[in-house]
Amino acid sequence: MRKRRGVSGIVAAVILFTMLFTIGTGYLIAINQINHLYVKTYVKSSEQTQEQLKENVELLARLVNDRLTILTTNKGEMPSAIIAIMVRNADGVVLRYYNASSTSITPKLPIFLNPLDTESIVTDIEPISLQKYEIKLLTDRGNVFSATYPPVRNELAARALSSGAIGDLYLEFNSYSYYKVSSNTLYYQGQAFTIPVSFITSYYSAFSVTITNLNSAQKNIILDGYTRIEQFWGVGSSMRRATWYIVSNQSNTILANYTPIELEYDKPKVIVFASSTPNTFQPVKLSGSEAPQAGTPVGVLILTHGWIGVDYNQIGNTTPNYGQNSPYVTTLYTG
Amino acid sequence: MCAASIRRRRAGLSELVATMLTLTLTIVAGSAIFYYVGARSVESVSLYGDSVNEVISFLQERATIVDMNYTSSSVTVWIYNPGKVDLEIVQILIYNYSRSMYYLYNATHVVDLNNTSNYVLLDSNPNLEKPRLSSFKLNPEKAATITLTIPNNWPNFVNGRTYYISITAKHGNVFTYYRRW
Repeated sequence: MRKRRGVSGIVAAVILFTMLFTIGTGYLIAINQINHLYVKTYVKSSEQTQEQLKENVELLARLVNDRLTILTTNKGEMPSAIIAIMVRNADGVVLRYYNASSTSITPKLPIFLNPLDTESIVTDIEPISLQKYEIKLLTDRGNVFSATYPPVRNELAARALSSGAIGDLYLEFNSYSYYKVSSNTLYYQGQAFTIPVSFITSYYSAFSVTITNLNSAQKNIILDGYTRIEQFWGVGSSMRRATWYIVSNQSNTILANYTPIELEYDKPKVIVFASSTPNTFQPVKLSGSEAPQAGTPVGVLILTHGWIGVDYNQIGNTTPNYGQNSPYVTTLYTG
Repeated sequence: MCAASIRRRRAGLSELVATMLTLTLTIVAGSAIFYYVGARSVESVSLYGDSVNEVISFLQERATIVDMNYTSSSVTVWIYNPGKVDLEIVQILIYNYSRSMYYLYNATHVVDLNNTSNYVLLDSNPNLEKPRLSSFKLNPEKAATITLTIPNNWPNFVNGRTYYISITAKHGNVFTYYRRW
């Protein structure tokens, strides 16, 4: 009798393959999708945390026209949105809570600040003499920044040390910062009172300072391209200097050509110095022989030049009539 | 019909029956395994999905306690939700450094954790928790305040002391803040 071949093996194989390609594949796809969703959420959550850590808004409370005014500067690497502000007195009583629906605050909330942008927020609070206030500011990322009015002793000391009393310009002492420049982008490194020599010789560098025009006649000041920071060290024939000219910037991007910057009365502005030549951006990197030795404290001068009391549209037809030399701070270069 | 041909036909029938039986058994057993494995894999994916969903909610749940404001018998907490999911609160603890004050507020009770027999039902004293945690839901990028009042005859806040607040949210995150009165 001739033995016939069975088909059960084939059927079993078909069933096994069906199982493998339906249940198995479906299972793998489902698990893969879930894992993908998890990883995506985890990455977004990490990014949110990193963005929150990078956010840094500096506050300074002061009195302008008898109103409590909050000077805010975005010192972080990310744009920030201020969504709410709370002011309370020393007894803990909440005096004001400003949010997007508040009309008694100028400008209205939310306030968007790009890196290095400043904004003066004028409240409707008229501080009472000797009364202390605490200001808290909330951003959309959930960070809370606070300040007191009147400023605490070290803030007052910092302001007194700056050159606010000399000439027309008030230089915010604590705002003196340095940056790494890559291509035309500024990367904030910290306050510029101490800088490693290796940094200044390895990277293109830049500095910034917050300047307020406090001209007693409330005239505007327009800075031309010869405005610069100079650092100098050594004595006699070994005296050396390094120069960073003023540049125009949009947020943390340096523009190729300098456009004169107008300082309106009592409106703080962050000024960036980053160029080795006036008016056109050329990045600055000091060679070893040009840089100060480790352990050298260098003097820092801010030389401002331009126009005062001249309409911005008229500066092309007007000879610059303003110049000021502000002794500012000291930077220590370390090894 | 010869005897040989009869034997051949009978042998063919039994092979067919055997094949049919084998085939039926294989299909029935295969289908059973197919459905069993299918059901188990669906269940497994569902459990895994639920678990990952919970982790995702945990990652997306955030809160910033902006500030606290005291009276002698109450505290107002200002909360902001910077997260991606609604913020729902399961419980709030209020305590001082030594835990000599240690109060728990949840959806139904206010409990003195130093003496758990000392508690108040919120249904009969709804003003102790405004708004009630059972109905509190804060959408992303929104701020709100919660005022918690200490029940009568319980120790109150003392001016000049620091108190802590610890908020446990629905997905397991805990947010803590402190402030001196």
